[in-house]
Amino acid sequence: MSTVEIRGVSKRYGSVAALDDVSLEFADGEFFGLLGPSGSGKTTLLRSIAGFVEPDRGSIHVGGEEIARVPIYRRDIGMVFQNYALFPHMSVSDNIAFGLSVRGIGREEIRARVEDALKLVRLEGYGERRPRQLSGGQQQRVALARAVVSRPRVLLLDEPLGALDKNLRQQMQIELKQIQRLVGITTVLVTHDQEEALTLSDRIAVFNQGRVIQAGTPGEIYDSPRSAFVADFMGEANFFIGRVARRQGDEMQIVLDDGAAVMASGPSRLAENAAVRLVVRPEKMSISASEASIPPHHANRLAATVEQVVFMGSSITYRLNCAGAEVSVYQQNQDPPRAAEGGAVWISWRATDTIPVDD
Amino acid sequence: MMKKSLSGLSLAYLLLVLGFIYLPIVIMTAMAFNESSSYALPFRFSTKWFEQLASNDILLRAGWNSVLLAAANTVVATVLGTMTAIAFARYTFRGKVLLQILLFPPIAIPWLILATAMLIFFFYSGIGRGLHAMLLAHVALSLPYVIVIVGARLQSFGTDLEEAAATLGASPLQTFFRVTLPTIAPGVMAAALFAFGISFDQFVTSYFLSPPGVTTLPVEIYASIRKGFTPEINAISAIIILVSMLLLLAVSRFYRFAGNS
Repeated sequence: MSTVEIRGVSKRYGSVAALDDVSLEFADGEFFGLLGPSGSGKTTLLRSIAGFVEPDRGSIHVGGEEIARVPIYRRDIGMVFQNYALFPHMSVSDNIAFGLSVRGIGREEIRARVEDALKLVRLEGYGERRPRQLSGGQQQRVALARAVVSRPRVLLLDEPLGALDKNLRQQMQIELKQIQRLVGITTVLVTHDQEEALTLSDRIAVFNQGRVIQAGTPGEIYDSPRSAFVADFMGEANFFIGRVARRQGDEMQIVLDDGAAVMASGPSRLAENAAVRLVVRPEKMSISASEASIPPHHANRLAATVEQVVFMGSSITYRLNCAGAEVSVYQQNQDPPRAAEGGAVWISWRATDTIPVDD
Repeated sequence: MMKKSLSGLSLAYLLLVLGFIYLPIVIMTAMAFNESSSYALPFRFSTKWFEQLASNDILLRAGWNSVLLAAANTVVATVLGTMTAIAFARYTFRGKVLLQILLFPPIAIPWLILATAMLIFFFYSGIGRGLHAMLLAHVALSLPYVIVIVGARLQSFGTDLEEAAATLGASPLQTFFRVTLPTIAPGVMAAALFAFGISFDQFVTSYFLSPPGVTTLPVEIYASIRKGFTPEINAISAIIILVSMLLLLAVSRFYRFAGNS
């Protein structure tokens, strides 16, 4: 079993708390994403698991064993670095073989396992090349093969796709996920790219200022952000500010600052008359030319003016002015265009798509 | 950058510079093979100065001393200097900055002054004079150069490769011999060559620290020139030039092998 448990880990650099009482658990074989802006602590946590950073407080357990006193080279981890850190003086095969050879594994077994690893990352026949003779994507695959060939207990990925261009990055995301499923190693990914975290991870922890702000599946994090920070960091969010006017079970009526009423549906801790911030995702909103053509199941409707229409290819982004606030709405390209710049429209959405969040 | 061909004027200038450097060396080497002892022309090929050199015990013993001393200095200074450079580049410790600053004055202070200081210190401390004292002095003189050269190479590689090796299960010792040393090898080779050169070429400190009867080649060549010049000096110089050229060639081949990969 290669579960990883982080218990109350803190690390300070001078007056800055890089990690502030972080507790997380990664299940065996899970792909766990650590997401956050730069300086939020995600990399410090990854380097603490690797052993490059010594936490001031708290403990890290791998497979139930406390690893604080285990030196890096006995932690049985695999790591892919942002710039790959391939050994330039060795061939691709020797790079991959390194971890096996320092463990004193026999020549024949090493050769067989290196072959398997090259096959896994689809680089058969590249073994004799030097790393500098490979493209960025190929180097990335060598780094991955080198990290998994000794079947470590934990695989650590430090912004592994950051150096690749967009198309290659998307292709590598799919491959990375497939390979991780295949080898089944508990994997921790550090990234500042929310799309990458959503695509790859089974679960995600969002970091800010050394703390875990929210942890959960990509769906939970995206659809039910608990704070404005998470809502804003994970994709685009429209914010509304108001006050709870009425509450009946899971149904809430919120009066916005400009007097318009908005319905929210879902469990909430908010009491009547409490100030509240609401999030609505742009793709959950619809645009209608007239009040009559609003979809009937949309309980919320607000009048707005179109300020900008941006054609994105697969979708169209509308920037609207709604009672002084800026609102974005995404519309699929298959729908006929519903508004032109300067036009008066209605925006609408379902009560369940209104998400109350903490500040 | 686009490669352009040299204009006639630039080519002439280049030849002038090369001539300025190599003409004296070429003439000296040629004269080592000239029969006349007073540089008289016409040139008559002869190897008699090499034969005389082979029976000149004093010059040969001085040459042997120089080679031994330079070899010992190369090993000691390169090993110590590389270790120091790694400590500077990879570790933090109290007084590191002060130590790094203290590295540079020995490069700037004239060797004559350093040699005088060493002579006085060695006299009072009981170290005295002799090959052992010269070795100490040469190591002290070459250490800063080794540290700076190896340090530059270490700086150009981050700690990533070493960290990667550690995550792959390599102990610190395995990491050093299988990752760090191979990547900094060109820098270490260059530093070793420098250390050899500083010692082999060292006149001032060796002159001060050589007791009667124990000399090095530069000191002996100086003495022979004062006594009366013979083309034997040309002969031994020609040998030294040949050996250093071969050494440089070997190192540059090694550089191409390990440096660009």
